[in-house]
Amino acid sequence: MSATILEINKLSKKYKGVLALDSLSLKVEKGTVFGLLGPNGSGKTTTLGILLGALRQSTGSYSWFENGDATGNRLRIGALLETPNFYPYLTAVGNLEIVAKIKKLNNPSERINSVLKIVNLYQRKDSNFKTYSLGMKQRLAIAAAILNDPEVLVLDEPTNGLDPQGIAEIRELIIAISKEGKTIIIASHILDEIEKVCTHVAILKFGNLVRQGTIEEIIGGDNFVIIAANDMALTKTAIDENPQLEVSKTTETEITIKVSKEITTEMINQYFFDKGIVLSKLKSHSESLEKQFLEIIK
Amino acid sequence: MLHLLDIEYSKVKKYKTFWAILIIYATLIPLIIWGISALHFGQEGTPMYWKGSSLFKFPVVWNGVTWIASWFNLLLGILIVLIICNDFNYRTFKQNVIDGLSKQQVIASKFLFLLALAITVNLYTFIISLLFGLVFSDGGSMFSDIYYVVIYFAQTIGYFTLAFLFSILLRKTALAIILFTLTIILNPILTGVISLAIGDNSIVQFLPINVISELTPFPLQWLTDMMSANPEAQKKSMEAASMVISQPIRTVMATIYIAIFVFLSNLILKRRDL
Repeated sequence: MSATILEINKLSKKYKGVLALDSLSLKVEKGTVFGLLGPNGSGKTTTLGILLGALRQSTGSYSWFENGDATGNRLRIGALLETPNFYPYLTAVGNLEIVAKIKKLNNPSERINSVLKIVNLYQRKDSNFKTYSLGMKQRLAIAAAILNDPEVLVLDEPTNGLDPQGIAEIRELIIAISKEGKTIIIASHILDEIEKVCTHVAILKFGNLVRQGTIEEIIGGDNFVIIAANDMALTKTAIDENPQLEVSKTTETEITIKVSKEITTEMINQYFFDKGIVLSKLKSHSESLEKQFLEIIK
Repeated sequence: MLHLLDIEYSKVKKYKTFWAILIIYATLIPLIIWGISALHFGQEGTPMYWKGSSLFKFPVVWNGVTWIASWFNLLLGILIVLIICNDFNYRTFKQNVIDGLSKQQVIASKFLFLLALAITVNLYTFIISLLFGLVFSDGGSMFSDIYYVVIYFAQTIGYFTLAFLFSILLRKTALAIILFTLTIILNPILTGVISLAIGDNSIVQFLPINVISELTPFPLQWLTDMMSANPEAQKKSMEAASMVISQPIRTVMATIYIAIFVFLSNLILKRRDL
């Protein structure tokens, strides 16, 4: 049984004549990891800013937990928007104490220590925020977002400023949290990130929704297979004879063919073998999100 | 309400500038009172003789101390600008909203904190007045002019809400401090120029800064008492010369100005993204 966590209805935002967001409608179901994709300036942060009460929409509406845009909804959400925003003269603990008070957390000190351990900041918990590196600031922002063990986690470019190890850690954290049945909404332009963790994707361009669906739907139904054989000319003729195979790209040494999902590499191998061609190379590769993304936003 | 105050207090608890300004305020006032109380002029026993310490006798002490304390409202106003603009600079207003406060709660929490600070400052002024009054008095009716403490409270709130409005309007610490300071420093010049231009000095008394600053006027009564053989007549003539607004009406007007400052601040915040 799935419940709707978030419903966006024709949301628009105009900044001094520029339409940053144009009538966006979306639905996010419980338990999904929802990726909001788009190039810089496509309206990702604007959308999240409106959903989190930091910006006012020009028109349209949204509803969290089927409960409208009530302020109390945000106590059930953990969010990281744009930059980590903290008091520079306070320590990590001092800053999280303020977040805990806003979130009305009981007995926060234990939880504060535990989230600081999760994001690997525990050693520096008594240092002032202003002494932190960009990556540490980002970790603290993630700690603040997960502080109240929220039902929904909203992350805007969560891996900004992190080192490769940090990126991997955050990715694992996101996967672990989603396994608890929590809903996660991530905005990013790092496609690799989205592809590795998201179940659903929406792609924005100039404030418009250009594509929406599960990650499989977006990546597409077609598979690509790279083949090579001694006699390339004969191989090509064999491909042309079969309506199920379609040449996508040819180089001197290999041919990339496009096939539908049902066709396995084994079937392809068998086909060429029957034609008297022994393949020296047979490699399946699914289209990456990146390629699709670039295609879609073109 | 306490929840919001608690959040605000957590923000300043370890903010050194906040405590430094408060300590400067709390130290300077008794120091200046002590300094004035040590002054004296003229020959003892003659009508021209005055002792600084007489400014701190009951009941004139309530006027005296609040008048001196009012000089430092500029300092406290700057403190208000700092703590409000900090939340803009650090984008923490925005973060507080993202974390779960409403925009109205964010404003309310700052306003509550401003009220709590004004109450603290007034309590301090009350205690200082009481202590110096007890030290320098030789009888006299202790609490007859104590309404000055209440009026001083209105004045503090007046300056605070003006600082609040400027901070919300400009959002930049330096700009808001400059505007706030200039408004207060240039006000006497503006008042003088307008008075000269229209050849009348009664209308300028209705200007917001004049209304607010004259809430704690120079202890005129004390001066005339000091210098005149006929204090009653002197007092009446001087009052008539300088004031067209009575103190109760001035307090009501100050309250109206405060309401306007708060209303404008709210209006700006409602219309703008954080």
